[in-house]
Amino acid sequence: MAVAEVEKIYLAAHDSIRETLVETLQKKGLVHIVNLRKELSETELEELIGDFEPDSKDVDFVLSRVNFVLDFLGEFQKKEGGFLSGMMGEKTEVELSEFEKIRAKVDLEGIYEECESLEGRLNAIETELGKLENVRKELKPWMPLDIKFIDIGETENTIFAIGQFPVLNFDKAEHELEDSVIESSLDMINKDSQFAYVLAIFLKERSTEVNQILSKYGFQTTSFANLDDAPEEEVAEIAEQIYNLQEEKKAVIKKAKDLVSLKSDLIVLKNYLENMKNRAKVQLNFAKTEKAFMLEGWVRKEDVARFKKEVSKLSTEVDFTFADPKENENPPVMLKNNKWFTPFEIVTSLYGYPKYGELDPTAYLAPFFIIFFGICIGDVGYGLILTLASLWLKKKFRAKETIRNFAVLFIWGGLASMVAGALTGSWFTIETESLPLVLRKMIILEPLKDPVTFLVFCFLFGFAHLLFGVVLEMYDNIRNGRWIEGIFREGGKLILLPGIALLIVQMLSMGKEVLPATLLSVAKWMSIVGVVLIVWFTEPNAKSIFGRIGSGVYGLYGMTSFIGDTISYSRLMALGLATFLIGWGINIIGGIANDMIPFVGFVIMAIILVVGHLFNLVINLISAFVHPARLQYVEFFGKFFEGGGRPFKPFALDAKNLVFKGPELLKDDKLTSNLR
Amino acid sequence: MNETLLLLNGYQWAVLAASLSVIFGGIGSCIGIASAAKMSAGVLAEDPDKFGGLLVLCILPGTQGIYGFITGLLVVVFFGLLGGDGKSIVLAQGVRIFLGCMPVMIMCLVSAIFQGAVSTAGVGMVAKRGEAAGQGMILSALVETYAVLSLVVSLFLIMAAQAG
Repeated sequence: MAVAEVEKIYLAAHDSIRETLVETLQKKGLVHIVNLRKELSETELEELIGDFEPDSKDVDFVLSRVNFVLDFLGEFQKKEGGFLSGMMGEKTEVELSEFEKIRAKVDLEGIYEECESLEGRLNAIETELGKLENVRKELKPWMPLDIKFIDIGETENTIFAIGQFPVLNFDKAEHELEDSVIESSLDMINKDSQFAYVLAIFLKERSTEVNQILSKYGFQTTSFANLDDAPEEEVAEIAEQIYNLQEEKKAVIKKAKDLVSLKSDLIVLKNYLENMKNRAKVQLNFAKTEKAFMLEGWVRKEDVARFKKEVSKLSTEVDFTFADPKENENPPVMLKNNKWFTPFEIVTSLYGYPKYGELDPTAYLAPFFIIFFGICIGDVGYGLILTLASLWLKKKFRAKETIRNFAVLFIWGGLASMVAGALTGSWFTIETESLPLVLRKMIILEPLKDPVTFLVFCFLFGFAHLLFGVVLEMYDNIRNGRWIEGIFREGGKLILLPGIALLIVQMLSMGKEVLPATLLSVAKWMSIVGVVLIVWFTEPNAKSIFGRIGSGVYGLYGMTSFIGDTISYSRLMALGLATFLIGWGINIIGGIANDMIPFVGFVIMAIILVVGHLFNLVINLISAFVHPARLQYVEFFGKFFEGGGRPFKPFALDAKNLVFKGPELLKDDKLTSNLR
Repeated sequence: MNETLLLLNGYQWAVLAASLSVIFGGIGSCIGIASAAKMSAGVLAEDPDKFGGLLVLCILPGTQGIYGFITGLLVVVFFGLLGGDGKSIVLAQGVRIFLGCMPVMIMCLVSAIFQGAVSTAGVGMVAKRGEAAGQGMILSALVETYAVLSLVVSLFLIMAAQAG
């Protein structure tokens, strides 16, 4: 319900313990480190080594090898987990003690070399296979040729040549050759739509003539340099080679697959190395002299004692001082709520963190958020599905904080939807008339029969929400010592707004007397008193009376925004009706399918209902989160919340794929959550 | 009963109202979603992990099509266009139904297109910072407000037309 108090820390120590200290800081995750070097660089301390940079090249090198192995093995891994797990990015749990020993445990050199050789072999096999396939393709038209390739070429007196003609030229070439050179033969071995594949035999002494004729008709010589036997035998041999290579490939892949089981360890190692890199990186924030180093950061007040204990355990050559944040400083902000409200921090943090010392709105927005969410979904069946699904998600993804928090949010939202659904008679969007009497008795309002009342309800909720925002501003002002503004200005708003609201209701009822006359005169006086208070106290510290009244009138003008803000809550009604109406449409379509289609109509109806209602739930779920959130941000926060704080991010173990557990870790959920 | 305005009788005006509500809402949503989804496809090519957040951003301009569908469906059910009752809609009532659907027709068409533009910008934001998906969603929902308001008014106008 508040923002955690922090203290500033300066720490100076001998250089010999730098690495161990950084390691401890990372493991305990207590300090939000800020860049001291930049701050000091302006003071030009001579002893400072400005460009000090811890060496992380070795880590980079090892990390690149791990990444190579992971990439390589990733290709051979069976796809595990469904679409959902893929989307959420599952994490594995690991004992912290195991994590620290991982480097000794994994024989990275061995695995790397094996993977590298396997990859090399696989590539070689692929290249070879490609080559063989090519030769096989080229040989294909030559299959009917029953001469060995070794015999093709020159003998003492004759020349054997193979090659191809464009198929249309073959006859002409054959004739011309027959006419001019008798001692020659041109045999067509094979042909396809484009080419005639021929064997030409002629005397060596006539070769010039023959070659001239052949090239005239586009003859291209073919040669198979490395082949000796007849095409058929060669093809058989190639087939055998391909078979052997493929067998070898299978064996290599199997070897690689056997290595896949090492992947989980490698992932841990990868995270370990990345954390080593972070340790080097964080030191870029340190100020460093030849023999010593200094760091600056923020620690939560409640952690100060623990921090002192952990650091003094390391060495006596450490010196630190603590200080409260100064006026002009902007300390990082950590929200502090009890476990019921913690999940709602995602709604707050989506907007931004409060400034240090400002009110944390999380606990105040939670109940309204849930109510609005419930109105937007507003169906018992949908609420039930949502609650059950969220319970399952919460259990399955308990290691991922964001998903767990969303799940808790939706559990509450689902429960609220069930309440809203029961009160408005929406059970899987079945028509109210067909509900059993028991359920109908629970109904206090039927939105479709009486939409105006529903709308007024939404406005009432909204108006209460806005007034609550004003109360919070009042509280914040008083808390920070601005008594006059808090009590008189915000008090004025709290008097004016209900008064005006009553007058507007009377105005809209067009002469009918919906409100008793006494109430109306009270409302009138409330409005007048409110106006006076707001005009006079909007700017109590103004220099002149005109300035004071001028800004007061301007503040009064600002009150008109409440009208638009209240109307904005009509979206709750529209979204609530939308859920019901779409579901209702689905029920109608399902009913038609059941009536019109013989025999299988029932099955089709079931499919339509299940798919349709799930679709409706998902679509409305998004709206039911986004729109209530907007009502918090724009309408509610606008009344009291400033924001603009930066989150408290302690330097800590940080692992994308892992969740740590173990006795060494702090029991503080909030801090360890940074590990997730 | 056979009075006509611009060649359409009351029943036909009601049918036209239902059809155009669905059509215009659908057109708007298609344009909006297509704009955001095209850009998402580009982001996903580089970074498939961002699918969840991008999907939500892409769906957001889809609500207008649904609002159009609801309006059309309400007209169909309320005025008995499915059965024979619809034939008895008089001209005045038919035209009222049509005019009552106008807010949804126009506002859903326009707001979905612009919401798509904002969602597309949100996709660009997510491409740079994955955690910005929520903020992109809220920005996109700011535009949707006016489609919601038009739905509220159209619902009331249709109910009023039914009441007589």
